[in-house]
Amino acid sequence: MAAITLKSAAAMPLKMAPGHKACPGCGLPIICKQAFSQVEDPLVVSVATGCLEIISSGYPVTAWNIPFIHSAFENAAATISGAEATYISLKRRGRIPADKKIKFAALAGDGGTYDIGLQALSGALERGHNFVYICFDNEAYMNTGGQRSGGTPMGSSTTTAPAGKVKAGKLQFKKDLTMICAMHHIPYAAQVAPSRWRDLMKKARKAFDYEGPAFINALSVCPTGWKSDASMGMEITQMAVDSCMFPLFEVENGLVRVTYKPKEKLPVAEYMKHMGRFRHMFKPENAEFLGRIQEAVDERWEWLLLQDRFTRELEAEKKAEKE
Amino acid sequence: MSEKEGMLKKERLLTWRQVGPGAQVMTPGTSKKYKSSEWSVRHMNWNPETCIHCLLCWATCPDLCIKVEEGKMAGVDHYYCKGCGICERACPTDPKSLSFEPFDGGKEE
Amino acid sequence: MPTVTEKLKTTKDSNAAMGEAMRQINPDVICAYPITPSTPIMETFAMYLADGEVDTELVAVESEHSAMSACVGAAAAGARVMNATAANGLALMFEILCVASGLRLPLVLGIANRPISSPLNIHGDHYDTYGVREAGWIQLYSENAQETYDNMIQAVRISEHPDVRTPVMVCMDGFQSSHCAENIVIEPDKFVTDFVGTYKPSYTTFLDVDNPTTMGAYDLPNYLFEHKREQHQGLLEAPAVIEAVGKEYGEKTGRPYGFVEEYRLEDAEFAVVAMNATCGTAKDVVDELREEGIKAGLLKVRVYRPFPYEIVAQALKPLKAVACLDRMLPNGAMGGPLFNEVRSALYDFAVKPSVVNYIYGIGGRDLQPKHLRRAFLRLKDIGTSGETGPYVDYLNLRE
Repeated sequence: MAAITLKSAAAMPLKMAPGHKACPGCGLPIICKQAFSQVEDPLVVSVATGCLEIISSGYPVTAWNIPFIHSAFENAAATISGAEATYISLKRRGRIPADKKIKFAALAGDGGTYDIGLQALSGALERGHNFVYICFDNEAYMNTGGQRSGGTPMGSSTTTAPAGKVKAGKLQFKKDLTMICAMHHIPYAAQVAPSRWRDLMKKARKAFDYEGPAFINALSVCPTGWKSDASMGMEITQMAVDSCMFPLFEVENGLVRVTYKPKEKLPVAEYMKHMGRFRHMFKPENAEFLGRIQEAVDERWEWLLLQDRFTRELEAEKKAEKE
Repeated sequence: MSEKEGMLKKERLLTWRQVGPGAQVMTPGTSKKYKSSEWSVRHMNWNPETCIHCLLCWATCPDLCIKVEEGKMAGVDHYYCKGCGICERACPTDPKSLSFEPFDGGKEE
Repeated sequence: MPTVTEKLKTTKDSNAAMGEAMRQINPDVICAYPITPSTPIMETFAMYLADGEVDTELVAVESEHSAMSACVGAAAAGARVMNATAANGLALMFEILCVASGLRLPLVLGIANRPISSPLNIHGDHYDTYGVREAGWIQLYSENAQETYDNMIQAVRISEHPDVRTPVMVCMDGFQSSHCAENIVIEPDKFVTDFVGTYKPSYTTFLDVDNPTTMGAYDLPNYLFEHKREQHQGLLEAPAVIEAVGKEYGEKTGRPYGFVEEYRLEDAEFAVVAMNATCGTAKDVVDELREEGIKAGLLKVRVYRPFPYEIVAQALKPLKAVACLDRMLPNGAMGGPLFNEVRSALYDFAVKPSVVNYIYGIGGRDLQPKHLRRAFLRLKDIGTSGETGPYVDYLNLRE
């Protein structure tokens, strides 16, 4: 494949057409465009119920230029498992030519992945199907109005865990889904953000190139649900990365590598202040909670850096052994 | 661009005998007909003089409406642009090669 | 199980019969999850796979919901797919049963009928398949291992027919049929392969990358009604195909199939309407009563969905009294499902039999000849007195 440049990516045929009904400034089509520009072979997608499915497939209109199937909310991974099994079976029986390449992807939001879809994802990863699962993490059940999910970060206000007089939004931590998937001992799992397009495209290419299951967790800005300025979408995404609330890393064959280290780590408050969903965090009574969130983010970042250091030391050792 | 003509809401609704089994949409990419810029009150204006063709606007446009020809930026497709403004903020030139201009939601077309 | 080159008389329980039918059909993909009493179906098949007798792609999913989801993905991709489950598993996959029929996907699902919890019971009744009858699937019921085997083979042809394109479930009673060895004739492997043929999907599949389509689009109020009416057409076209396939099967094997089996109904005055294993017992009781001079008969329903109401009405119309046997409590309805269907079928006729309902066999509770005798004798009383009494009564319930 061509080198990863915007020029070569822009020359790839669009797998998702314009005219879709995403909110202005939505992160989903940005991620789709960047990730799919790295797939040369024919691609088929199984999409869970959610924003991506709704904006792109309202009968009789479709934004998809590739085969698409939607069956239910929690089974994007199970549906693609069946399709991939068919591909293997029909190839074996000669009803699909032996050299016909098809790539399989399951696309779902954090709702259909962290929570209700976790079982199907876990099963598909364990069975080792050859597919890529992309989770579009906008940190709540945004399609239905913004209810909390397992991917909602601590402190975020959602409609089912709103910030009010006595409660300060979600009190629980955000599940570390990428590590959960990596612990299925799949070849590749990564976290990406469309504000770092080169990192995202590199990881997408790796994910689609690997034989076996791969998982990508992509942070998808949602101006509607995050209550932020649509034009600041990419900057806010980048602040999430710079504050280490959504670190960019990959787990390749069991080794953790941090692929982006911010030059200046941003305090979480600097990120939060741009979004209405965190507005309550600036009240004096929530200062202690904000402090705890900052601590939790720092701890986790330190842990990631430790894993990264281990990986790099191991790689250096191996390199030294060869020489 | 005839594929964009014929607003879907003006198309006749199909009867049950015409819909075909399984609600399967047989033609890909029919959303191209939908004028998503109808939603917008502003458009992005492109200045080819200052543009350095870095394509960062292409990379970050959610509505897939940055036209690229032979690796160079060729304008904003006003049929789809919802005026979110991400491209304007992504543009690295000074002065910016993309700017806002008001748009009345396509009422004139 | 060695290759079958000519008709083989052997003994199998209904689980093994389903497994054998699946071996001979050798589908492209099977996605299944174990649940009592259907587990041995997949165990039998998995052993065939492990021994290289079939080359199906078997996806060992992590729940029944994922099993049916993977089946949907596989069928959409153009595979011939089969699955087997029961009870709670069927309930768990209910959402996707509706998706499968809505997407008009051919699928064959084997069921070992068992009630849904609570309380938990693994034994046998019709709560599961009655419960999901609104999912828009074709439902075939089987009296014994032979019928189970024959129904599985015919189900493939019925489901894949372009006019039908509706998934089919083949049902037999949990434990009473599934684990009970009976005499069975297995057809030669080649016959089954020829009868089902190679699957050529009548629709553009998910793997057709040169003709990309969108499957499972969402509908606003302006389209769902039309799509559902279109889907319903599959069930309206199904009877003609079921009849044709059953007739062809009969010509080739000597065992023809229709929508019902009328046992000694030609001149009957009293009959019992039932499905699945109980029909075997009922036939014996009918013979006994006939010896005693009572004009008893049995109407066995094979195709429950789409319900053959015209055939049922014609068969039962001349009788004096009919008892519908339902293996599920009415759950708030006037009676069990068969009772409601039969009464509905007979409603328009000025002269029609009295119809009553017996609930039996819940959770594997045995139904013995003496219980059926009691039912027939009550029908005889109704015939004489003209008074039905309460519509719903129970057989072998400790009251």
